[in-house]
Amino acid sequence: MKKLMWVFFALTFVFMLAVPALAADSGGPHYDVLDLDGAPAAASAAPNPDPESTPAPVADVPVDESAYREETPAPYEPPVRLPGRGEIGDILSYWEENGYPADVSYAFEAGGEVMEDGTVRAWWEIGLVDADEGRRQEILELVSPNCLVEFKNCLFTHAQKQAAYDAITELAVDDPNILEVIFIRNGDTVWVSVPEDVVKEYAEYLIRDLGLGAVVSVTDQHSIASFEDGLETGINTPGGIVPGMGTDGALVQTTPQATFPAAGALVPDTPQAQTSPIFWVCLALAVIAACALTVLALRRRSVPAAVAEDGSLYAARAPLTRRETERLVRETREAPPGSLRQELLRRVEEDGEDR
Amino acid sequence: MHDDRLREALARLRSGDASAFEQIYTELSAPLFTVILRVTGDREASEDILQEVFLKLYRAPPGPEVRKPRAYLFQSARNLALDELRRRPREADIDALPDLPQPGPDPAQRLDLERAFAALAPGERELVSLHLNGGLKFRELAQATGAPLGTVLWRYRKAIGKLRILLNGGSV
Repeated sequence: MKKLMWVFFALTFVFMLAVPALAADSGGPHYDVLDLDGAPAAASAAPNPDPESTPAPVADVPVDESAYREETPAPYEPPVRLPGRGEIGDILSYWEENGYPADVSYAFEAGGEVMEDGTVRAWWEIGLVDADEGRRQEILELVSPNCLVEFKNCLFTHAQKQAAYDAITELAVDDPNILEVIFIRNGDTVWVSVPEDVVKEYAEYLIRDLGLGAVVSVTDQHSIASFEDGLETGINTPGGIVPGMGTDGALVQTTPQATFPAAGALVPDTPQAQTSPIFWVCLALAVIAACALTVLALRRRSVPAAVAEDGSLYAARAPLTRRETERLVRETREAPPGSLRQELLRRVEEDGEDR
Repeated sequence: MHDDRLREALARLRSGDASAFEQIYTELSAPLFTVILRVTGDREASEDILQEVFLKLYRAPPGPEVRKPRAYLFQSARNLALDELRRRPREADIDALPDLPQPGPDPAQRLDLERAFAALAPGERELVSLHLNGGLKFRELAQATGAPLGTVLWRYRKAIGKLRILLNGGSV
């Protein structure tokens, strides 16, 4: 055991030394800043696409302040768009307000480009369920010609996903096991994150018992963490419903488990965080301790003590869980008395004779 | 008995096969009786209602246009049970333990369950029993009760929560 602990500490130490070194080599980690629809904007360290029009500031160079003249910003010119029958953004807003058509799973702005003539061309992705070519043409006729639309085949409609999301978020109100419910706009399922040891149980409960079906994907919280890892989605905000980042909704429960790193931990911009391995060791130990305590707390089921007539203590029945309560109700059923069967068959026979 | 088998048995019943009726009775009388008993809390009335449900079924078995015959049967039983509740005088003896299913292998726990069940509102008993004893899905419950799915889910969760608290010695 001691050997294992020493190996663990050695590995942790090496890891802590390596992370700041790597970060220093690459000039620090960079995180893309994403807009609400999930389209990545230019990263902070990305090369400037047009260095002449917007010169990059040069640090640590003496500046002659008397020679400084503020440039007059060019007047804003809205992007030129070709006339169309309807902008897809307007159509999307209409769908958001009035409900999506029955076969539409999602509409999602995947990006865009400025053409040589200054025209802005947006790329849209529209997910359809069981749509044929005619239906695709119908939708194409709705949108402006300056949009490029890519159709995707989807399994579930927006309404199905929304219904599943609504139902589960409602359940989550008093179910601490439902840690996150994430409805990704261009995803085919609603992601539900639960503790690792109850994944199967909840999958059966949500998918089969509640009849929500394959539109729900139940997974443990670590999978969800890796899914959204590195994105400052704000979904580590406890107890909030957070739209954006390509999600149509995300519910995050307040949970004692340290599922996500804190928002600040994603951007290690403090010199102390980059240079001090003690910080990383402490962080790793704190996370491990928190996980261990959570696992212990979840697994522990106290059995109350009861006092017998002679004053001695004995273990009383452990408190029932919700599942056990349901099972108890399910298992207590009663057949009607046999005489009822005889009486019924007699009446049925009389009926048959009357016919 | 799931919908496919029930549909097949009903088709045989419509064509005059009396053994189909016995098959349906054998397989569905216990869950139907339990649901009725849990809604009404009255054994004698529940026997009458169960008989009425099956006589109706025999005289006019639902046709193939009924897509979910199991839900249909439980809904008929539920409606008759609610009619029975409405017919009763308002002044009930609240201390009397209703005539609920008899204790099974773990008598103490099951007696506790029936006491807890009796403490639920009629609508809550109905939802819990239809779902757990009748095997109706929440969507079917929503259709049967005319309430939105979310409301049904919420009421069901609340009822199970109450049962759990009562069974663990608490009060609601």
